[in-house]
Amino acid sequence: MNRSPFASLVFRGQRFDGAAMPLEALPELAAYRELLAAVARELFFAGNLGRMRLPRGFGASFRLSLARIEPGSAVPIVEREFLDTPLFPMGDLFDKARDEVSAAVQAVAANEALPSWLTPTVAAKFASFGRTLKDDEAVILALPGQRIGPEYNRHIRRRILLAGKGTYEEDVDLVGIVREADADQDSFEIRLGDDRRVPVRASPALLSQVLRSFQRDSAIRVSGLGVYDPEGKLLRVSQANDVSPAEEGDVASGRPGCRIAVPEQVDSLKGLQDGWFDGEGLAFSDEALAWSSRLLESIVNGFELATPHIYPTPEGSVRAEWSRPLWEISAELDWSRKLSEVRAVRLDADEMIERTFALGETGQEVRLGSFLANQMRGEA
Amino acid sequence: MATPGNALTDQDELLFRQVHPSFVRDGRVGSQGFRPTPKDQKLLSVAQGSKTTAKAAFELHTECNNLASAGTWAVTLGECQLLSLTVRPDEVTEGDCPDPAHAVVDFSALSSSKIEAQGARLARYANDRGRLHPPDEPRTPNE
Repeated sequence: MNRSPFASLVFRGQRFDGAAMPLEALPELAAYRELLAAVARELFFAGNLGRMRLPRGFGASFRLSLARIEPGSAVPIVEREFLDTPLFPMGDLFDKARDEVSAAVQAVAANEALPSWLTPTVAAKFASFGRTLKDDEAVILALPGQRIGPEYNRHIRRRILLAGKGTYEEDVDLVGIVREADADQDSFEIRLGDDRRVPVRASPALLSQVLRSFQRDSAIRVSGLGVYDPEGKLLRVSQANDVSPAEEGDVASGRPGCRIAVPEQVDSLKGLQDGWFDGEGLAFSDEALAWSSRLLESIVNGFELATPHIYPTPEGSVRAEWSRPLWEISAELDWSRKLSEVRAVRLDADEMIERTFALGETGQEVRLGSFLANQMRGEA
Repeated sequence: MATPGNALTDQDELLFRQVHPSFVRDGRVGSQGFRPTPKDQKLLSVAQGSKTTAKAAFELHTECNNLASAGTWAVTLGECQLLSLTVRPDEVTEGDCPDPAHAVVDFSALSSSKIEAQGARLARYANDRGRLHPPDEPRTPNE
């Protein structure tokens, strides 16, 4: 077996400092090999019109190995292995595939036309190459012995995928509430912090965790492969790799609720005049709104609650509402009486929990927050 | 003047509800949108889907009655009945804006707490169904 230098892939980014190649990034090397093999196949058929099959041993003849990792961020030195007696002279085609991929990356960066070999099959290989890269990371596709070349990063990858497939894929890490689960279809739907609902496919083993969370009405964390449209909208998770109960911090970062911050919502009520509700409805004083905003914001942040949807009531209270899978929870804040009436309404049963908090009394604000938090987490 | 009509029977019939803009936040209808206010005498106004459309109901409310609406949401007769709420036709025959599709969901037997609970449940049905008119635009996270 002979070896010859084939490529230097310069991985740049904080994770690769000190010539260290994180284990989770190693699949990039295999994905690079698969990408070049796919391009080589397209090049073969383009140069051999009428051929329906590849020559025997075509794929197996392309063997890459990791010789070493050199410093300069992390630079895996990729070598190509050759049999002592090649079955057929296909070497140039794989070298050409390497050069074509580099040229395509360069073309995308320069907003130039993409090559004809970028079929959906090849685009799918680009989906695997660069999947683990983070926003501040890149791979320089350099020739052997060099450190400069076209830069391949998430942005370039995304544009190539969109050109080839109309969608692109990236690893996702989501926190949300399970809204529906279908064990027969190996799928479920998760509602995210901004109220988007995302379909997720998952193995039966992971679905058991999903169903437990669904029954407990608790948040989960899902990691997997997300499929995005050209505008960057997450369409679905094509396969979940892991599902686990969300931790407190997870809920804080992805808690479901209104996408508009509490102060902004409360502030919007300033514009309501007397008679705002079909001739009824009282205007709010600045003092009432300031009190309501401060109270709600401190409770939401202090107890890591989802951002509520906030509405005025014709009677002059500020009303906050939270939706959970099986509950609707509301808290009305009455500034004039320094009172809060809280209700939790169960949706699938004739059950309602009501509490009144006299907020002028010491400790009642904390009790209000604690009560709401327990309701959100299904502990009360 | 409103006149009672024949009872509704189709469980799947949509009952259109116009929701005041102040009761819609970030696309979500608050529970007040689906419960009667004190002036409504515990009767929630809706429009029968068998007699009008979401668009026509919206236009009657905003253009003829000159009232504010963020759009048309809906629940079904079956959903109301599941909550033990009766619905009956209540055609408006007089005035400048006759409304043959007008109907009412009757909350009159309920306490104020119970009215609030049933309103929250109806609003959930309506939110799950989404706004029917004007059609919702695709939302982006930055909206």
